[in-house]
Amino acid sequence: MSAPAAAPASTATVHVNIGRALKDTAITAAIAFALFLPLIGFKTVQNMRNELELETRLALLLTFVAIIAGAKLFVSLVIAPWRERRALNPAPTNATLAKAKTLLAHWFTPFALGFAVVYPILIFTVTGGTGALKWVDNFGIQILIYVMLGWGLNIVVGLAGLLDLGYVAFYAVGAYSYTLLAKEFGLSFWILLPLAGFLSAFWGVLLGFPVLRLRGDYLAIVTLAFGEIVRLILINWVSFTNGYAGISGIPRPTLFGIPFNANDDGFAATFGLEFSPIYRSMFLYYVILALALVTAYVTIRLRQLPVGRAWEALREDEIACRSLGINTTNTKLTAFAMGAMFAGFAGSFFAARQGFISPESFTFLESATILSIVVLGGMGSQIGVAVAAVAMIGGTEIMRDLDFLKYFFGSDFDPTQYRMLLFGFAMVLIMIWKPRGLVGTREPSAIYKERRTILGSHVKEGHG
Amino acid sequence: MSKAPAAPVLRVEHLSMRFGGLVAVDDLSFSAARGDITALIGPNGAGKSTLVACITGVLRIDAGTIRFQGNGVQNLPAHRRARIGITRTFQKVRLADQLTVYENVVAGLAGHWFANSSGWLRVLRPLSTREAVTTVGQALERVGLSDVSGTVVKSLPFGRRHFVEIARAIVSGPKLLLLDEPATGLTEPERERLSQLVRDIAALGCAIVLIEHDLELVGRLCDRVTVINHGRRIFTGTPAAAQNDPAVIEAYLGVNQLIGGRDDARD
Amino acid sequence: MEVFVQQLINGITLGSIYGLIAIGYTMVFGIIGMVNFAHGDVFMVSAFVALIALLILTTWLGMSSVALALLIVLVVAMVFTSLVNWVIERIAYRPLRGSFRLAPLISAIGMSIFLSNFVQVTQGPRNKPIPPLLRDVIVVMHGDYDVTVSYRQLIIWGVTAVLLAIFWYLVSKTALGRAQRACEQDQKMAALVGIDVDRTISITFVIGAALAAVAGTMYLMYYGVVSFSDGFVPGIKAFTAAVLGGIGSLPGAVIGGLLIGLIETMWSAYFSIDYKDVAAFSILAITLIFLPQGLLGRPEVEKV
Repeated sequence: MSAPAAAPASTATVHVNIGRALKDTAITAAIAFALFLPLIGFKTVQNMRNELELETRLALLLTFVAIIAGAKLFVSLVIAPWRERRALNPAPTNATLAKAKTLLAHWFTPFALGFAVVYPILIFTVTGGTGALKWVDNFGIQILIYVMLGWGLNIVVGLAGLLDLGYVAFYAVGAYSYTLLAKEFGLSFWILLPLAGFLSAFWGVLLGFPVLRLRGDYLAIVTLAFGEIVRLILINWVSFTNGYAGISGIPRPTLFGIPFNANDDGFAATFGLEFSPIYRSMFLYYVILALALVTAYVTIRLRQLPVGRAWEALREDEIACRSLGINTTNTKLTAFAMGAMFAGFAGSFFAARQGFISPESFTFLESATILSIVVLGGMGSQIGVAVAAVAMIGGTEIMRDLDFLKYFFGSDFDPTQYRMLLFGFAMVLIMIWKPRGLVGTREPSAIYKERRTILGSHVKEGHG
Repeated sequence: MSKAPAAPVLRVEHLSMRFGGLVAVDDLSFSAARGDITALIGPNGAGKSTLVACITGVLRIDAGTIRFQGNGVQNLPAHRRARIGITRTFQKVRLADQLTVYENVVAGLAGHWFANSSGWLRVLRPLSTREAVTTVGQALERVGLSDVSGTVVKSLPFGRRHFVEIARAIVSGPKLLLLDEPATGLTEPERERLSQLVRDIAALGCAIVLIEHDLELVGRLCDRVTVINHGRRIFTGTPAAAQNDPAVIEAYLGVNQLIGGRDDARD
Repeated sequence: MEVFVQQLINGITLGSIYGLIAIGYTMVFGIIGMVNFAHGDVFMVSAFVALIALLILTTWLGMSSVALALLIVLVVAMVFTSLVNWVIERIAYRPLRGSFRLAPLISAIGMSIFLSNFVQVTQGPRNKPIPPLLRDVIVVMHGDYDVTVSYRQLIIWGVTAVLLAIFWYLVSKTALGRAQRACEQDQKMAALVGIDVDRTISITFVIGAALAAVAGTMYLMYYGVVSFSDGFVPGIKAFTAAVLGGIGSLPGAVIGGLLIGLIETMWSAYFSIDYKDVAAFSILAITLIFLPQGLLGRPEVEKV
């Protein structure tokens, strides 16, 4: 293992201390054994009389310990020396790799956008009919909702630097606004969508007011408390929200008044197609895609405006910000209102798509998920947030589908159980690996790019 | 060139500021005139930075008045004071490290846009208009940073960051600029550039209040110096006179050397 | 009146549990300025460890002395939970020290999600009931309605008092306590005077976990049931207690815990049991907004 033959003669070699690696591994194995002994080594099960009994799972426990010890051994024998070697002789920068990176950076956005637009059609042609439903609905729409929520929260957290752990409250306000107004007054989705956004923005300002003085962790905790209060009220105010049971039969959105159902005036009948639920899914897909793109476009525009500058100045340094003549109160409130508005849009879309809502959909876990998407995406980076949403939500959705794992782990293995487990673990790992998020470097601001072109034209005029 | 020592831009009268039992600024009065460079010096903990925070509105004062261009501003919030022309730099540089020099400086204009009478319509216009580019370009040129406008602040050498802060403070064309120990950590050529820059800004008609430790720099730049200790004014006069004043010497003695004062012991 | 006294007794019991958890929050915040979001789930894990230890002792080993069994369970839970929190600090928080300010919080949220789902996967999603322990009560006040103190409540009070005394000795009289206070003030300076900062922080997490394990064991004994989702709400309430008492202040955490316990039981008794969590969350928000330094904390002076 030591002194790789391929390395040039001049480079320092890295000595691998096998004895030490083995000792480390033994310690790690002992700790892992102790750590997992209670919860993996034993399982509590209820017997027929509803009493708890213990079962042992020695094999499973030893498997886990072996996996961890093996990983530790691998790290100390292979990865650690490799890292050391790399630190001693840094690899020469690869020109083609760098070029490929710039190309990727340049073409990624248009490609991703194009792919998002053709995705349902592509899926429809490949899998055909009802087979496409899962792919458009579970993956397409589900991911896009989170992309939109991520972009919305990005305004609050990424741009204005206000850590919001209760974002789901505004999502809930949007969903319940649409539901209650649609059921009560029979208004259409397209009228209620802006209204729900407006109501959420109003709540954003309302909840933003008391927290104006708070920063950092304290702000996060208070917004978390607000989010939970909203959810608990939704649960307990039964006469208004129907409590835990939720509200069903929410009117679905229509295409200029044409509903997506099997009736004679439905979409399929109108266009002479055979009825299939896939049309509604594709329609909803394009609605949420459009909403998400509006969110992104508005954010990009806002960043170039004074208000966007003010947000970024606020994120960096509040006191300096005040000394620059920026009204921090208004700046914070506009950020809360903007972020909440997009959550309201997403919420009303969510209600219209599901046809059923209950407080279960608006738990703290949702807020944590959205926040982790923003943070993993690199705080402030639009593309990063989209990539993180695809990875996190797509990843957990795929977990639902891994039936083949049953061949390995037995038929009672249920991969969906492990979704959130891995989700939490991934949050920790990505924070350790890349604390600044997946897209860590901030994309050059539009202002500077435009500035250069403007200056360029300036020079041309001057000399030519 | 204005009419002699006419009405000063800034006039602080009987200002007092307490933190609980601690009196940080005690019945202090001083003024700064258009085109003048007024120095405010004193040993560590004398209340200099507190005074700046009081004038810019980050802290609310307990007693006294702060007159700016003849109007009392002590009740205005910080951002309004900045909009009417009071700007500052910070003792410990406070810039957005992740953003470029241009972006940092243009933020100095953001408040200005909100303040503008055409108000909310202007707010919807991008900051990358030619007007902004020209204004920021001029400020950067003045402080000698035109070559690095697209550079991220984090990658600038420490000395140049002070100049970014000054550019951000002057980009909106302030009437009063408070420089809080701008020479800290600068090399000798940089100090020379700073002196020239401060004189240039003053020549444009801006009143400058220079908070400094370094009496040598103050002597080079200022006509008038106010020395404070324990929040009280102990001396006002020329820098040369300050160096011979027994009260000033006593305030400084044991803290650091009075003249030639790069006080390396600090920080 | 009887109702009030009874709720007072119940509130102090609940408050003791919250106070024990709150110390973990307040110590970690004091020393590294981080809201240890996973602490509530560490508490939940400790309750499961206690449950399993109790089952081993009673169903496998047939131990008949409840008092001795509880003592062993308590020690086992404290040891294992300390180990868990020690490992968590090592892998999830230590690499992020000095990273940007949101990273530890996000990591802690991830750890919280991981822990609750880990317990759900390994032990199943159902509630885990145990046969009621120590059902006897002492009637302290006769009236239209008898006011009682149960042995369980007395044990909780006693154990809490003893452990708080030990803990108090540890942090105020020993070298460890001095090291902790030094790290709170200035980690660089503490390192310069020869304090092992990493080890001090590790020990802080271990002590916090041990006290959370005491709370977890008491919780299991008191309610006789535990489930994987029991970490979140008690965690938030204990955090509220820490904030109310003044985050960073150890007596503040205990007093805050007692107050939150009392408010919760009184609210349930006199107003509405449905909205008791709303009351707790409102207190959290109101305290942070209007009294961010808490009852016993020192105000934070903003550097201008």
